[in-house]
Amino acid sequence: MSRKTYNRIIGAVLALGAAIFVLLLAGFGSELLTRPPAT
Amino acid sequence: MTALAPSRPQASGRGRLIVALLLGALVAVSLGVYGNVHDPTGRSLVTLFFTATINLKVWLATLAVGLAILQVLTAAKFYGRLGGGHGPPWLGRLHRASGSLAFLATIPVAYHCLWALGFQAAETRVLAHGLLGCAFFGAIAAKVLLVRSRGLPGWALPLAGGTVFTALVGVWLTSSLWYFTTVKFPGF
Repeated sequence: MSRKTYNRIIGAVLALGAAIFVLLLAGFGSELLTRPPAT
Repeated sequence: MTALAPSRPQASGRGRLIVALLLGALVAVSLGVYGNVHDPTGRSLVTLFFTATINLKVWLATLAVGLAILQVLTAAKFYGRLGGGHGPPWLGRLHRASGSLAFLATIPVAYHCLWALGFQAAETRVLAHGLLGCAFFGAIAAKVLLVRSRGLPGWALPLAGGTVFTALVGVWLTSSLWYFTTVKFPGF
């Protein structure tokens, strides 16, 4: 794998991680990843 | 005209440095504001194979710190500050992969902190943890922008990386280490 391709993959992973983080904070997917507190 | 040409990359580099710092500051402040204004849900994260959310979080944070230490060592090596030479050619790839993995490991932790717990200032440790957490994500945003920039001062990238590392270690000290030393270890 060329350095350019590798860097693009790393960049895509970082961008995807940041996008998922923002979406989670916006409330998307919270039902899947969290559960109610124990009562 | 030719006399001015060499200064252009430096001026451009300074501009990129300022933009990256401003964007990093914006990210840090935005997360802090979000944590403060968002109503904490109190919900737990899915715990995978851990017994509780807190256990998942302290170990993901510990993984991130371990990878961050690898980041510092690999960077020190290819900057020629660790032993002789600049290390093997694959060191840069290892540095980038470990950094990305460390960042991914922090996402569920920060998500739970911000979404479920919110920004808290009742205790000094918790306040410091929240501030350092926001600083960490601001610093990492600035560092990712800087790492692809040209014409930066030589100190810019090491300083950005050092800031990311320092913030992350601070986050870990005020959370995982506190948990390990005062609540439970290893606490899976």
